[in-house]
Amino acid sequence: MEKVLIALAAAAAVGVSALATAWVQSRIGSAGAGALAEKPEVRGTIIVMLAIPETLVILGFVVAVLILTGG
Amino acid sequence: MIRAMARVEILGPRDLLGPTLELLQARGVLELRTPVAGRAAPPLHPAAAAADAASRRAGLLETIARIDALATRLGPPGHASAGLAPPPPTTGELAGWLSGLAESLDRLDARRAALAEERTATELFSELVVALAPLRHGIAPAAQPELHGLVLRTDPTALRLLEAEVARLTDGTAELQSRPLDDERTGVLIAVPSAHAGAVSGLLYERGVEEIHLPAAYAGRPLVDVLLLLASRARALPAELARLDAERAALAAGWLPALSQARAAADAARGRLEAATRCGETRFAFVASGYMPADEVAGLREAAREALDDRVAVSARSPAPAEWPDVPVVLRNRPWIRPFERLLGLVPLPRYGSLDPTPWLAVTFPLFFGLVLGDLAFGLAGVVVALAARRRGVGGPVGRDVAWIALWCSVAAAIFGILFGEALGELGARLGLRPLLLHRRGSILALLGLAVAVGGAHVALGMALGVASAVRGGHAREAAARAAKLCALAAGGAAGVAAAGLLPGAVVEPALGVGAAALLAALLAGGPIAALELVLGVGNVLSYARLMALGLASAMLAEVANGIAGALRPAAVGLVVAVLLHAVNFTLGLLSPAIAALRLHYVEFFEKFYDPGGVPFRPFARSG
Repeated sequence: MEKVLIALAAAAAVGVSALATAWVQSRIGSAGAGALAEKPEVRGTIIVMLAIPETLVILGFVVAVLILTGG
Repeated sequence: MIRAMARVEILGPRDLLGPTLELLQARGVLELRTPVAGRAAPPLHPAAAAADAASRRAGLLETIARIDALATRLGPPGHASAGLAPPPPTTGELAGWLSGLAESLDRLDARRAALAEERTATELFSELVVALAPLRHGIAPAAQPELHGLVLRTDPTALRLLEAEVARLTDGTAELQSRPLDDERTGVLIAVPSAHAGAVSGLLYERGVEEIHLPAAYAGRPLVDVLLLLASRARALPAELARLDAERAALAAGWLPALSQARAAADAARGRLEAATRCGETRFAFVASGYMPADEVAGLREAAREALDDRVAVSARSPAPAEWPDVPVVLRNRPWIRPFERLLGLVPLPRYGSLDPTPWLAVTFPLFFGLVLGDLAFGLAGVVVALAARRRGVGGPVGRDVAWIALWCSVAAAIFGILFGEALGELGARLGLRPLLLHRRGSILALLGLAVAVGGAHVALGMALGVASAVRGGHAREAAARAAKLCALAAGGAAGVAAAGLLPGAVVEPALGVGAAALLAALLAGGPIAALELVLGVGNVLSYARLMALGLASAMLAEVANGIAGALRPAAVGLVVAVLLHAVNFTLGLLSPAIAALRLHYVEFFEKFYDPGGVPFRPFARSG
């Protein structure tokens, strides 16, 4: 039972953070595509903004690893 | 590094402005800027009056458009032959010269169109006459019969109606004969005395019947003569058309190089005209001003002395810090680093006087890529692909640079593959490869520690560059705040490492003390925002955990591929699936690490020191 709970906790850590990242990136991506159509020179800024929420899922993954390894 | 630039002022007598601009355009080293007159100097006005310049510019643009249109009409260049010399674009002669070419082309095109039309008519009429040659009309030669050839859709009713109408219009003097050409078409020949020919032509025109017109030379001839003449023309026309085409090709070969010269000259004249509006003039003198690479000034000065008889003065000075935001930026790096400048293409150029991150990118970008991919087989495959792409010149100059970056990334991936003991995942271990640094799948926490340590070092490097940048820009307070933040982060890192047992425990307390002092200094120098930036700095370091996450994912996917190969039966199917999965992993392995490494540089690294907003260098030069 304990193993199941640990696995569920790890899955929740990475799953919820992945959903949050996906939602934020969808918002930034659509707005960024619109901005890019009008001002192609902002592509660098948009890539950076699109990449910022990725940290969320990476940290979720790290937490999941820590849960699974007991670290 | 960012190339040192010089602010250059060129001063000379007014009559030398044109030759000076020609010299500057030929050398293409100076970006012109509107000069500013000193307080004691006489007022400056633009060297080309706006209205006059606009009309001359419009004239030159029209000339360029005309040249382009003529070049398009002449077609693609074949064997170009030199010889024709175009008149200068600023004189009226060029318009006459171009009109001469246009007239020659019109003449040739009209002649060719007539011949092509005759060939079409000949082909159609031949078909008709051959079909109807056995027929004879009974109209007396004295009535000067005219022949009207038609090709109609086979319809007996319509044909009878046409026959009746023709008979009505010509009082029964015309003769209409028809014969099927094939299943769907019927050839019709109407012989009409010349007195009624107009009425029949009118009827055909009104009913929308397309008549096959015979050339004038065929009019009034007997059918057999027409047939003979048609055969003769059918033989002669291709040769005539070929002769005309050869004449046109010769015209193109002679004129295209000259047109190209004329276009370049007109475009250069337009460029000089626009440049003149950015130069200043007084009653007797002109002044041209701008920025150019400092190491090119001596060459320009020497060229001006030789070409303009030492009558023009070229002065140069280093741009003052206050004008740095306006100074154009030219990056100059060693040849092996230069391709990495492409990675800066997604962000604005660094401002003049700030730091060029390209040399750091050239080291850390392949390092991060290799740390994520970390597979000897993938690395070697990447090296082969990059070398092949570079050798074949795929993608032109951009592709060559990308292949160079890919080559070093692949080398790094191969090296990390050896350090992690991986080649197509665990297959390396079966071939005797052993981890020299760590086993990624077995030591996840150690891999996480390595990624965060790399991140800490990278962010600290960025902060150190930020200190250097602030010192260089003369911002002492900002430099102090950045140095204090760097010190606080380093002290915090040392305390953390000591707490984890990797450093002696005695280090913890002094490190925390130093960190607290540095935090206080940062708050004093940079204000409360410094504390927030420190927290963000910690977040930046943790963001490097993605190097571990993506690397682990790559290693796991390779392991899955190997597992499937071993589990599936028959073995051949397992092998095919494994090869496909490794191919997918390799493709992902090229994309994901590149994007992650770029993001870490743009967001985490550049944020610490990069000063964007540099103006690209656009020297006044001949286009193309």
